[in-house]
Amino acid sequence: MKNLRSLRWIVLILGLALIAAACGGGGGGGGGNNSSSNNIKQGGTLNYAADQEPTGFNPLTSKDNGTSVLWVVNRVYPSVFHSKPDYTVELDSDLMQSADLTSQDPQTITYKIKPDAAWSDGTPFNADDFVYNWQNQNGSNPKIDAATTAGYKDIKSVTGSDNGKTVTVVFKNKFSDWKSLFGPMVPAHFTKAQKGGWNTGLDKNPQNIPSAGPFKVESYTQGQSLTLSKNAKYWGKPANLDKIVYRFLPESVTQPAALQNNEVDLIYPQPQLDQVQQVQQLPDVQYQINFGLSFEHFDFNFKNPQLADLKVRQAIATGLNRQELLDRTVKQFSSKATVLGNRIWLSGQKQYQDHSGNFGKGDVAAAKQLLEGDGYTLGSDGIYSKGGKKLSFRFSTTAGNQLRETQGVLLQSQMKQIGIDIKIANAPSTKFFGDMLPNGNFDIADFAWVGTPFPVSSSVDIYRTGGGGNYGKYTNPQVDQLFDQATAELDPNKAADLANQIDQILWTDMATIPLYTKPTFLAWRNTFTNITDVATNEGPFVQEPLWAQKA
Amino acid sequence: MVSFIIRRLLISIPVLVLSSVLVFLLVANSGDPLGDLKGRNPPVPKQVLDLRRHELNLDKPLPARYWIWITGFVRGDMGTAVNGREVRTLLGERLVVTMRMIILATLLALVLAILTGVISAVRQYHITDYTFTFAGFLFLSMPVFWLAALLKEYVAIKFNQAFGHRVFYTVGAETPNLTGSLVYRLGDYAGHLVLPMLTLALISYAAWSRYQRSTMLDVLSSDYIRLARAKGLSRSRVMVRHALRNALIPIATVVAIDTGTLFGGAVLTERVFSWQGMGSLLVQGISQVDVNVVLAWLMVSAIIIILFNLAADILYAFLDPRIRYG
Repeated sequence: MKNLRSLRWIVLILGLALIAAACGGGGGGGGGNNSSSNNIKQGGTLNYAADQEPTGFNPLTSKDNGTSVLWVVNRVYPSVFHSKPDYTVELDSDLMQSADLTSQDPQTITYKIKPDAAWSDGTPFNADDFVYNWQNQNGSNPKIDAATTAGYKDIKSVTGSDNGKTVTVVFKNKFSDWKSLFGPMVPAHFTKAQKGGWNTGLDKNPQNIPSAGPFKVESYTQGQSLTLSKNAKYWGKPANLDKIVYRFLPESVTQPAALQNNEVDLIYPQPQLDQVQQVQQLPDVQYQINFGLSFEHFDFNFKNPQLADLKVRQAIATGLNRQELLDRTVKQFSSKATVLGNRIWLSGQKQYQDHSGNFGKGDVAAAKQLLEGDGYTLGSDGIYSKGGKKLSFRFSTTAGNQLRETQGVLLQSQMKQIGIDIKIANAPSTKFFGDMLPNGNFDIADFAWVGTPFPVSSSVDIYRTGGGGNYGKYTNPQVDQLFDQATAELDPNKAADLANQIDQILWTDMATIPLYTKPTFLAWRNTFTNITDVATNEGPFVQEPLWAQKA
Repeated sequence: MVSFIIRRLLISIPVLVLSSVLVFLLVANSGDPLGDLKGRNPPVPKQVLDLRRHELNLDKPLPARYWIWITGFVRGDMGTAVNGREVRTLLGERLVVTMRMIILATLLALVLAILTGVISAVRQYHITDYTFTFAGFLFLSMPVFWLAALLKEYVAIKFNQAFGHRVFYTVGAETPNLTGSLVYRLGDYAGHLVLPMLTLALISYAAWSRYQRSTMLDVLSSDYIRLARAKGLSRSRVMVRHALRNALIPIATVVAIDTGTLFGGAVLTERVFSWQGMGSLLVQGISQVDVNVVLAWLMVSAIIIILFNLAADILYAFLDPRIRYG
């Protein structure tokens, strides 16, 4: 009888839970378009489905230097420059009066901060913040975790004047991409006072971190959500929305249903074909597919004796049909997808020039001719060999990434046609990036480089002799010298020309094979407006202050 | 009984230690937790990689790393995750989320399993039995992600659209920044809970109901049931007091063990409904080669399974007087 009594209780509890469920919820929906920026309503909350939870709140450390953190704090912390949809940068005119190159030799930049600019706790935003952010990123202290020292290590001094509102930065080595520096900046006075300081002092309680941007962190519930609210102390043009909620939904396949059910208002996942198609059919949702600054490529390992042979690399590039790779992968997302002919300037940038020539067009006969001219002979198994050694390479990429795995299979079949054997040897991303690439344990690797609006300085370590990202150990003194020139060239047009010269040499040397820029996918409920993708590392979140509800 | 429990607990300690050694070796050798940093552009400076390696004890040999972990665990310190978060806090949060999902799901599955199992047995080869059998096999063979997708599309979204009011939610355990009256908040929790609970319950119920049906059939065909009827006891008294009570004994073990396993996380259910529970923590730990997270998950899950096995034994004693007085 006791069991029956227990059963009655269980049934009662379930009943109550379902009745209570009927009392919950809230409505949603709406219609319209995204074209007008005047027809907006102030206030409101936008829910964004975030794939990842922030690992901390100092995006300048290696621990937190991912988009999961940057996209949250980008409009909380101040930046001298922000990126625009056309991949250029512009001065944050709410924060700064000016940021000018005032001397070529020594390179000197003079930053003038707006008099009203202050952190939300009342502390003025001034030269102390510039000094602190420089000192922690210049690599002088081995106990400091800085994601990169690029540019900061070339600075000789940072000094304040005019009550800290003018900052003078003098370089010891010229650095052409100086606009990439000082953004974002963490608050010096607050970070110094935290236990753990720069490295871990901003890990917890982000709601206490002062803001010098249009938003501040209002609350953070780990494992669930983080809410940004309008910074009431912001001196510049205020944000339109009251709040932006980052809901942590790690499984991006759940996002279309959540969008349809009005549980989230904006998604920005790594696009998958079925997911894109699902969202395209939703009636009250708008979307954009763009091609950003990340690009897929094949990396050659020059330590492999056969791949060290230029003719072999050229034969691979000649026999490779990049258009087929594109058609079978990202072209399915958007007809705008194109193959990439430059490793430094990407398709959407005005400095872009296609240097690929006749490479990557799937010319089987020409590829075979190159190999035969190099002394290779075709065996009965259809594979070329020289000196008794067959042309056989491993193809490696991040296992589980469907697009890349498809690219591997396509490469395998295309190379078979020109008499080169490809064996697939994929690995989980931690092993691929943590072991195979840095230890040179690969022949041909497929992965992406994430670009920034400052491609010259961010390409140095990929192609320069001994560079940290030069996994294939490519070396050419001329390229090294041109990079020295380009990074020290303060005239942007001349720097762009030098970068294009470098890319031409990289094609001649066939250092790597660029494939295409990666698509981005942004979708939002059309009750919101002023939302545009900015396909740089700052993402569409750089424009958060403009996001608004439709009137 | 007490000495039995203590004996069982003591035996489980070496099992736990051995399994932690094996899992530690497997995870520690499966990749580099700093792999993600090494693939960045511009490259992370070497001195920073060395610093992170030191912070995570990756610069120490494997036995030393294991020793640091096990001595910390004994003191209640489970170390920090690769992302710098305290594993103990992380595990606590995730366990609470998982418990919210599985407790009601288990209760619902149990009620359904017992009801349908018993009715199927009593009405063997009737249309009711065939219907329940069909339903049982249907849910038994249906993949979790598929069932979840159907529930989202045809229960949650369609229902909400039809009524113009959001009652059921498809992601998360609750609405962010939830405020309001207790009833409103309970409604929100329930609205988020219904779909994952149904998914989990229907999958679990399917197996359990088949089990309940067969044990009930065994009991109904036993001599003491015939004797009870021959003595003139009412059908309901025979069914409930004599048949059902005895038929519950085997299923108590199955449910206890299955529920213990569920505490380790209903991985698929959590992922398709974006619940950040124990299952997603395990997946995250493995994908990030986060030894501390995976080991902490293993230990807590194993301890829960051991406790639930003990609970099953105690339930046996409660349901079966022969054990209690034996």
